[in-house]
Amino acid sequence: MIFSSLFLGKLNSHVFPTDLVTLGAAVSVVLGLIGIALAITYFHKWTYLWKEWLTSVDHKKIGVMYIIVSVLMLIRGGTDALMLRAQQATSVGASHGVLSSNTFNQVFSAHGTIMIFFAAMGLMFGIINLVLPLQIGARDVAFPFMNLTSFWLFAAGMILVNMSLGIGDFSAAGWLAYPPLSELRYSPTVGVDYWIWSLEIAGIGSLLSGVNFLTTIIKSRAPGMTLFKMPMFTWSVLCTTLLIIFAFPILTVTLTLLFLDRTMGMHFFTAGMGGNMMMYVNLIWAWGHPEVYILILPAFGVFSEVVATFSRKRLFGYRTMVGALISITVLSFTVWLHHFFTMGAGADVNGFFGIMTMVIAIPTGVKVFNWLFTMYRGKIMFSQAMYWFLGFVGLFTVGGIAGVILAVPPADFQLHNSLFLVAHFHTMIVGGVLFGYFAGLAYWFPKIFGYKLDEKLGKITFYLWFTGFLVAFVPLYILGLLGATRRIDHYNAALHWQPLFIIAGVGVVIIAAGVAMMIFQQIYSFIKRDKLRDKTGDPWDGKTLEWSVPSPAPFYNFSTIPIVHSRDFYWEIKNIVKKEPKIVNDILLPKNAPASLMIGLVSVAFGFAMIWHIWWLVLASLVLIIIIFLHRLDDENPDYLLSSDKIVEIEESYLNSDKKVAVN
Amino acid sequence: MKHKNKKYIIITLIVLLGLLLVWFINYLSTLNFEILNPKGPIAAGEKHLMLVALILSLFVLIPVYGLLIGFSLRYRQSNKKAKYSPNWDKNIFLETSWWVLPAILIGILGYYTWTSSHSLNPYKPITSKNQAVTIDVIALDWRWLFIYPKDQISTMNYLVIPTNHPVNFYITSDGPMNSFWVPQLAGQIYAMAGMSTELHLMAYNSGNYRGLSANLSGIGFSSMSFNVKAVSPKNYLNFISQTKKMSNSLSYNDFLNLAKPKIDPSTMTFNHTNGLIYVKLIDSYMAGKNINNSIKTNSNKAMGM
Repeated sequence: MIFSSLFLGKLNSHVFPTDLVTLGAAVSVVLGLIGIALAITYFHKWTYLWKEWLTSVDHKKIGVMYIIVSVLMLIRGGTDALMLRAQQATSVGASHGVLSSNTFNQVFSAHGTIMIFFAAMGLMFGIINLVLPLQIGARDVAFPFMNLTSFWLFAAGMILVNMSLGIGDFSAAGWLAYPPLSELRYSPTVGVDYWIWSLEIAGIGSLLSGVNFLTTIIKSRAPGMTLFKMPMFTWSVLCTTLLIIFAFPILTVTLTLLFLDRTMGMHFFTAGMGGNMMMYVNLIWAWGHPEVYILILPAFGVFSEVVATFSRKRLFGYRTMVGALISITVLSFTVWLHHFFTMGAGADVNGFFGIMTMVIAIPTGVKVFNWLFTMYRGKIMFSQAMYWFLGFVGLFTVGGIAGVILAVPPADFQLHNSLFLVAHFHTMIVGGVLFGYFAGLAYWFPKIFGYKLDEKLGKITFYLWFTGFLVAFVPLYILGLLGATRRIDHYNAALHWQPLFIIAGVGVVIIAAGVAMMIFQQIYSFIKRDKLRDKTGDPWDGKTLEWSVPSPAPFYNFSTIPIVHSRDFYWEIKNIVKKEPKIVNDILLPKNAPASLMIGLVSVAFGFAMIWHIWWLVLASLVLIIIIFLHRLDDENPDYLLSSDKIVEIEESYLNSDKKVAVN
Repeated sequence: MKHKNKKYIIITLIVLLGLLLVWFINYLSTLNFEILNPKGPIAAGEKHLMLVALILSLFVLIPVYGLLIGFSLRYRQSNKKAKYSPNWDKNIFLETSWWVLPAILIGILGYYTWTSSHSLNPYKPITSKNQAVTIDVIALDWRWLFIYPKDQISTMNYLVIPTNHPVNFYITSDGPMNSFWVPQLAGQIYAMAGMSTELHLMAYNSGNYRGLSANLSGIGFSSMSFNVKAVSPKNYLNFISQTKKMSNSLSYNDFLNLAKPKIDPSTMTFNHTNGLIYVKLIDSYMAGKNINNSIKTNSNKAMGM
């Protein structure tokens, strides 16, 4: 007994899931991984994978890895959503549905956690990675090794969340784990610890990414690109990274305090012994509200690029756009209390935060009107990216109005924690954040892969997502007004809510068809890639620097760093300046960094050890991380020189051949 | 032939959609929109504010939708008649207008927000010529205990209140955070261990109103609903006197027994209730009992010891 707890902590033979749903999920994940591993072995792709992807510090490849992980997590979180809807559609009156209460609570906790931290955040970092250095005329981010390390910490968090399917359980306390429910007394299993440590580790990765991209924007812009000549997407990333840097340390500290409560018997947030749960709620939202702006600002940035490009016009109101971004950045730290008007703060406090919340709607509205007037007197091409934009304006405005209603404290007393609230924030996050990232992916895809995504399938995808969204969430607005709260796993038959829950479930199925269509679009476009090839490097008549390099962008990005003279510089010069042979110099590029992957994997062990109280492994993995890090610091040659001859050869192969270039 | 089939399919689809819509509207009309169907002054005030906010918001929604649809149609690539000005990218008047006009709307709504935050503050007692009733509310895992301290009686999972008399609730929790909510009478407020929150409401008409917890508190959370019976003052006094004839009782020790986690929506009524249960419970959290032992037992259980 003592031995086993010394070596295995809280692990024992009872940690494997017993209910069929969780067991099935865990088994299928394990079988899937084995299948993938076998396939890689069969095709002899391990070396390729290791060299070209897993250890590559090329920001474009890191971006692609982020997006692959995020799409997998989108599917995982979507499966959770299907299960939630299946439960709520069937659990009425005498019937208690398909899931036990405990499983149901775990599923919605996992759904929220995974969608925000591993689907939305991952897509965001993926798109920023793909685009940002290219857009500011840089060859890479400021700290390439740190960038890959951030990705692997993100992946480590993702692995921990999914490990909870098979070993132990996940938190059943909601995606923000309010104490005292999340304290040891009410959540004695390791579920909340899985939640804490996957977010701690992924959160460190996010913070490092924030520092990295801010530094990149400040230090690595092409000569001549002053702040007010930066593309709007870059501006949005600048604001987002500032928010990350200010907000994520709050999350890290809050989670640490909860960990100390649970593991060391401390009393920061416990009920009693001087603990104060209200402090936790304040702290988590002091991070949580900026977090939603962290997600939405880059989506705003994408739309600014998309609407200007496909309206064939300059972006309307550049300076007010920047002003709006900065206003939102500052104001996003002044509204967190609106998440708990119902906690009993005084009327003055509630009134102040209600008004601040409405004030933030003003700069957001400014952005919407500027986008609309970018379309005015344009020549609009209705590409798939533009479809996402139109859908976004339609949904986001309605969601924003729901938000303004929720911002009035006495109205919030009636709508708080109701399904109306759930419908509101899904409108913002699906209609705003996801639609934005999907537009960005369609827009920049050719720059990364060298061919466009099929338009028709893209539009079908949009229609499926858009109708699916309406069918899934209009019933939730209605249910909120009927007085239905979120997170219920059962309700009284006399309320007659069942048809609405069934309709909402049908909506989720339509969205799932949208996801399937997205995957089919990828496969179809890959097969037809020769027809869809982007030979010019500038398929949309773009304005920003990323369109001045060939597609797919070479791994060194720019053979010569451009000198920028104005906003929309590339748009202005591309028809005037003929392409001349450039004078190319040798380029110093970073080598692959296996250390990042190692740190990520050891972090999984560290997190696992923390969760299961395997203290020797905690110590061992910490020491190992430090050793790996020091070893990396000791590397005197982290870079290599790419000769100008080689660059010229690659550049010419782009010009001379329609066939895909062997990059690298 | 094929073309004709397509036409029929489309017509059938439209008819089906129409029928579905008729069914849906008919179905909605049978439902009780509790938020929009208030039965007391507080809930009515809260509903009024939602409508004010909605109407003010329409001043933004309608122009946005108008411009979105109008510009999309007018400036589509295929419309050769539309003007094209690729370099038109700023206009001081327009840009100022969409900072200022929404700010005015927000100013108006902000005024409503400030005044209503005070007038509908849940801590503010309702002024009435009728005498107020005070009830202590304790959210248990996963039941509701209501104590009438003046009459020394208590009820489990149901409430009886007199119509047109203000009811003052003092609310706490013996466990995770819950939220005390009776949608048709007043908006919710959190119930938190070791703390006391307040809510004041009044029912205009007698009837049964659904009460519930609106904040996740564990596996029994969904079954934490209770019935609020609003009855005439006369019937209310009847209820009190009937209860006072009962022979059972609820001491603090009985309460501790009752407070053990249980999923059970059935109702109970107690006479001879210790009026200090509410205060003693809060004090127990302030003093920090109630916690150390439980940590030990729970973590031992989790480790399988």
